[in-house]
Amino acid sequence: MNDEALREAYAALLAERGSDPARTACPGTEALQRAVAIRGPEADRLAAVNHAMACPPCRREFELLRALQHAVPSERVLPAWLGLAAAALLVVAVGLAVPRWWRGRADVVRGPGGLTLLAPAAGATVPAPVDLVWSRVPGAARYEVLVLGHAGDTLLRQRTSDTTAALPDGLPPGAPLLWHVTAVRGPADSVRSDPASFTLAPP
Amino acid sequence: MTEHPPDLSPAIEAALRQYADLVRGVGQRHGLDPMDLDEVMQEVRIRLWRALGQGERIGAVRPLYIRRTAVSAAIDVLRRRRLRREQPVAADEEPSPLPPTPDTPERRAERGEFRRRLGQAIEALAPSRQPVVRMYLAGYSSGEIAEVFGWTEAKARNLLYRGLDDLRARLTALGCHPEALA
Repeated sequence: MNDEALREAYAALLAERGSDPARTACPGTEALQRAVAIRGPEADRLAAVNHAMACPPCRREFELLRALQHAVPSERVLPAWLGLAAAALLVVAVGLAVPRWWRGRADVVRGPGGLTLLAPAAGATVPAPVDLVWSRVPGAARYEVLVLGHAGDTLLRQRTSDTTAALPDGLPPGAPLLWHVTAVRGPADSVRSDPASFTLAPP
Repeated sequence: MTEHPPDLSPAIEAALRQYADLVRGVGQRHGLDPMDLDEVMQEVRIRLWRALGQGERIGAVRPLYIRRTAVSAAIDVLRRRRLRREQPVAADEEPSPLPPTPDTPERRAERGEFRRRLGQAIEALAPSRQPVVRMYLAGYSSGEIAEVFGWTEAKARNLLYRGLDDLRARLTALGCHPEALA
């Protein structure tokens, strides 16, 4: 009984059970939010998460609240023009101060644990065809690549043992695409890159 | 939605887009529905518009204020949905990496029985291990489990390994063998 087989069986079990339309046994949204924000007694939070993981509608709510809570924006309160000026100054300072050997690598996105998105460069506009390339993670059994459109729609979800994947043809140019890669090393052991975006150039 | 989405300043729209991108980055691995996020962000726009009036306080909008507004808006959106007993639109199914194998009726029955016992075995786990095992089986890593409960990753791993060992022992005791899922 390997972990993958258990996961498949668990997913099938949840799909088979479905959910109660009246949702009488579901924890309230506040209880889910307290669990996400790590507030209140641990026993209550364990119970709320336990339910959410067994109830598809609650899981969906939990995931929305979790993503909203854990997306931590950088705290900037500068007026837009001052922000742009500061960014321009920073670019100049970085250009002057960073050693030459480092130049050209500054647009690489490094994730926790060393998974790095290599190409396309973050923020670049690139012509099709596009090959997505990332760094090898020692011990990784496979990589999972996800590319999202600007509206959050999934454009590519692929598992591979390689460190490259081809972007499908026919995607619309001009809108930024967001992508990231997860390296799976084993049960309960994965490393995810930071997300990065790029734009397809018009043909 | 009875209110027309307001136009906010480019600075606030940029902050909203940045936050929504961050949220997508966090949530995409576990099936965050983009439509849910869009609905919440629309609600955030309306709240900011009301709170900021004609835009004289545009410079005072802090990113963390946007996050607080979004969390509060999400709770209200979800609460309204529950009151309406609205069924969410089914998310797009992920393409299966392998085509399903044609099962015989006996094989389907065996798998169904295995799932039933898996459900029993999970429900018999200790309360501290049960959500951890469920999260893992739902695709969360030990790091994410630790983050959700505010634990160290070592603690999450420990509970997870013990929980999985316990789960396998219970499945075996219920008559499930490794070949049951072969």
